[in-house]
Amino acid sequence: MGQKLTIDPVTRIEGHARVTIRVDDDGQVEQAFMHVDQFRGFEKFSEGRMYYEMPVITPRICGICPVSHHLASAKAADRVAGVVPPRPAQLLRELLHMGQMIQSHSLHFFHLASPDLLLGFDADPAIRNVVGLIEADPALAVKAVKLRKYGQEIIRRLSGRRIHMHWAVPGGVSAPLAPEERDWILGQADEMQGYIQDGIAVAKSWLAANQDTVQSFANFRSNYLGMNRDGALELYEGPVRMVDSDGNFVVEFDACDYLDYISERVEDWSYLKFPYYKAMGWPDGVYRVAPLGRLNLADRIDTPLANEELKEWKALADGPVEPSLYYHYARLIEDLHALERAVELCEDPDILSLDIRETSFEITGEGVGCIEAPRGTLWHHYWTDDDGVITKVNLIVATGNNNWAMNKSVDMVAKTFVDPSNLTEGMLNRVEAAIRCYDPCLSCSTHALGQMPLIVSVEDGSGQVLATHTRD
Amino acid sequence: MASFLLIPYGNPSRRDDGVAFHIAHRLLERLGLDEMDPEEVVTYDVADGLTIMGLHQLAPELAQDLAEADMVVFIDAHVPGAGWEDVHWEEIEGELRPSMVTHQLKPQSVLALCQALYQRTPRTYVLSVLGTDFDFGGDLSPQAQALVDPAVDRLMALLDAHTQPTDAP
Repeated sequence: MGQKLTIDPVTRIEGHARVTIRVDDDGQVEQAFMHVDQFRGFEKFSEGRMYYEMPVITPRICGICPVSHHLASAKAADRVAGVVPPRPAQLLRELLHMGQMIQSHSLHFFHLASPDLLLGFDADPAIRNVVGLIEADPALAVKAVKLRKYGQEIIRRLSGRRIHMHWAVPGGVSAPLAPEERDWILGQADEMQGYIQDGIAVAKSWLAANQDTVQSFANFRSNYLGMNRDGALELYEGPVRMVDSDGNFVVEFDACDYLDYISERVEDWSYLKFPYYKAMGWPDGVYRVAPLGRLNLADRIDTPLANEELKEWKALADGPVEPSLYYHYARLIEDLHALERAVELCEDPDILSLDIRETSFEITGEGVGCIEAPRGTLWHHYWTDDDGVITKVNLIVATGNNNWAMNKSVDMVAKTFVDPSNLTEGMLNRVEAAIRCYDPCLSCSTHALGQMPLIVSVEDGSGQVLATHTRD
Repeated sequence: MASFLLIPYGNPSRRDDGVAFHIAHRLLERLGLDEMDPEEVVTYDVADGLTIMGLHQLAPELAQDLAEADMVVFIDAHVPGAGWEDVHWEEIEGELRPSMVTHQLKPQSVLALCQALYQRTPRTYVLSVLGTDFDFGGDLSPQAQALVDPAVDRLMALLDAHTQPTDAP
C-alpha cells in the first residue's frame, strides 16, 4: 500500500501551505504537491464597503507586500471613479512600488535564499539561517539589513507610514514628496546599488559553481507571463504579454481585459486556484510569473546596469532560462532595476509637483487594477453599484499565478532528491527550497504566536501515520 | 531608568490577531497618552523614552531598533493550541531557525539577529493574549477583550518597576 509524506508547517490559523509526498508500494516518490489552505475570504469581506476604502483595506491582506495591494487597489479605484491621476501622482506611485520591490527582493535573497546557497542545503538547520550567514559573511549580512531598510524607508518617507498606508487614493495620492525626502532617497542610492551588485555577484558565482544542482533542480519548460512594454521589463503599468516555452510571442492584452484571457482552475485539495491562459486550455496554458517569467519575456531593461545584467542572463540559454534556481538571479536583476528606476523617478522634474490628485469623479461601476508585484502579476477587480458600494470583488494574487509551477517544482525535486526510506532534513529542505525559488506569500493574513512546528508525516494509503519528522 | 520599545503586531482586520493594538491603545489611555495611532512609530516621554512601533509582522530590519532599546516587549495573540496561559508573559532569548517560505520572523529570531549584527541585546519579553476568533473583522472576541486589561497590567508593572530611579538597572 502506498504511503504519504506530508510537510505541514501549520503556521497559521489560515493561510498556510503543506506539501504532501505520495509514496508508492516500492517506497519511491510517486507524486508530490503543495496544498494552500488559504481561504480567500477577503473578497467576500470587502462587499458592502465603499470603493475608495479598498486601498486602505486590501494592504491588510499581506504584511510583506502591502504596497502591491495598495497600488493595485488604487488603480482599480481610479477606474471605478472614472478618473486618471495626474502624471506626478503616477510617478510617485511608481516610486513607492520601487521601494516595495527593493525591500521585498532584498529580503528574499539575503534572508531566505542565500542561507541555502552559501551554507548548503544539507547544513545543520541551526546554522542554515541568516545568523549562520552573518557568521560566514558578516559584511554581506549587514548590507542585507541596510538594503531592506532602505526599501522600507522609501515607503515610509513617501506614504508617511510603514504599514497600512492611506496614501494612494482614487485619482492620485494624498501627499506630495518633500524635497528633503527625495534627497535622502538619492543620497543613499549609490551605496545601495553596490550592495545589490554584491548580491548579484554572490548569486552568479554560486549558480556557476553548482551547475549540476541547478540543472537537475526543478528545471522544466513552461510559458511565461507578465507586464511588458514594447519588449522592455515593466513592473508598474503596461500590457500583459505571454511567450511560450521556446520564447515565442503568444499574446499581448490590456491588463483590464484579463477575464477574456485568464481562467482559474480549481482543485479540491487546495484553496489556491490555478490560473492559465484560456486559449491554450488546461494544462497547456499554465505559465510562470515573477522575476524569472518577467526576464524571460523581456528583450531589454530600460535602465543601464540592469540591462547589462539582462544581457548576461540571456546568454545563459538559447531561449527562456528554465531552471527554477535562476529565480534568485532574476530577482536581484530586478532589484537593481528597481533601484535605478527609483533614481530616475526622483530626478524627474515632476516628482516634487503638488499636482497630485484629480478630484472630478464619475462612478463607472467597475474597475481593474493590475501591477507586477514582487511575486508576479496581481489583479484587483471591483464591481460597484451607482453609489460606489462594492458589490463584487475578484483578486488574482501574484503567488497564485505560480501555483502550477510550484507544484511542478515540488514534484520534480521530491522525485529527484527525496528517499522516503531514509528521510533527512536536507532532503526536505530541498523540497522547501523549490518553493522558496518562487518567493511565495501564502500566509500573511494572520500570524498568532504558538504555531505548531513543521511536521513531516509518513502515512500509508489508508491515512495511518507510519512516521513523523518534526522540526521547529 | 530605561528606554522601552513596545512592538504590538498582528492584523487588526483579523479580529483577535490584532489584539496587540487594543492592548497598546489601552496602555496609552492608562498613561494619559490617548492621542496616538499605535500603527505608527511614536516615542513618548516616559522613562528614557517609551516607543511604540506597530507592525503587521516582524522582519529583519527590526534588529536595529532592538539594538537601540534597553527593554523590548513583543505583543501578540496566541492560538489555543499553544498551551500557554490566557495572558502569557515570558522573557525570551535569541534563537533563529530557518524559515520555510514565510517572510515573518519570530521574536526570538529578531533577537538573535540583533545579537549577531550588533553584539548586544535588550531584555526582551513576549506578552501574548489567547485568541479564539481570527475571522475577518475589527472587533475582538469577548474572550480576548476580557484579557486586554490584565495584559495591560503586566505592561504597567514592567514600566513601574523600571521607571523608579532606585530600581534603575
